[in-house]
Amino acid sequence: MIAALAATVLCAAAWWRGAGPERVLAGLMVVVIAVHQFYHFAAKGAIVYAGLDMGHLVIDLILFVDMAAVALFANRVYPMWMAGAQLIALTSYFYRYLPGPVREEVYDIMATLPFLFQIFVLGLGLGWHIARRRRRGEYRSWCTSGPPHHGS
Amino acid sequence: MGAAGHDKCWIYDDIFRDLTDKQREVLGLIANNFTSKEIAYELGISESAVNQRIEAVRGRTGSPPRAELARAYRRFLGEEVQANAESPPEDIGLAMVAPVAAPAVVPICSPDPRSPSVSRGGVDGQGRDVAEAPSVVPGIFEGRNGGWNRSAAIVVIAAGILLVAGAGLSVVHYLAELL
Repeated sequence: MIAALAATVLCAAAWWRGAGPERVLAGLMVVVIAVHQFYHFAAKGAIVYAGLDMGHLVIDLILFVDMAAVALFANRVYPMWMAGAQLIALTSYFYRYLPGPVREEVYDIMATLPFLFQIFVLGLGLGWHIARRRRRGEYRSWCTSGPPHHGS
Repeated sequence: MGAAGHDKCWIYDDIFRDLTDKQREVLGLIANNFTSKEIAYELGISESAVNQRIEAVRGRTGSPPRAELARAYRRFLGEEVQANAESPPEDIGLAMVAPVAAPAVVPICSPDPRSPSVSRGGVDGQGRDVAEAPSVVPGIFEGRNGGWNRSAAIVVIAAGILLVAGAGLSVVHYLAELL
């Protein structure tokens, strides 16, 4: 609940004061919360297959792909940290299949902390963006790639 | 922008007349909406060298936003061309490249009408980003291998967070056993 509230407040702040990457990432987090609630409502619980919650797996996989895309193309550093945290959330699904005893607290940390970490990092990123824009003026939101060319 | 803004742009003219050839080269391309990376590619120099020349000019002009500097230099070039209309100008090289679609009557030192509002940031109406500035990300994350380096960074970050969390958990377990 606190994470959902924090994400919603961040989303509003990102739309107000952020640029493209901030808005996309904050919007993603709010959408994930909404989709997560809808999934449990629609599935009347969870859809489990081979010991894996398939709904959560799909949500986390899509979120990782989206965050990685922002991390690859944004003129920012912090989205890479968010994508890294999301990668941890993804690997948590396969932690149970590793040889050796499964420690539930390790699984819980891998499954839940990434989202909280992402909210924290997004807040920091938004603050840095605001400070940077105040210091330098407007600057690029997205990076170009490959050899530069001046389009006509 | 009020009269104070226009006065400030006239002060730029005095500074523009005292620029070095290298600074003129760079400003001429900025006036044509080239990014720092494109200028570096065009002039065969490093992007940091481009930014150094830009910052040297910005430092003398009171650090205006890059877009404002571009517009002021575009207007200054237009006046220079007009003043030299009778006799061909000496070789000024790239500094005399005609501005691309330079508006005839656009208030100087005011937001470019083709650009979105300042609060939005991002790309302008021609798909070019607003007000180029030194890149936020380290150079290793840009260019041809930027994508691969960023992907590697994501994996390294994930591994690093796991290591730190694992170490923290071990410490907590150890302390719990002590108690």
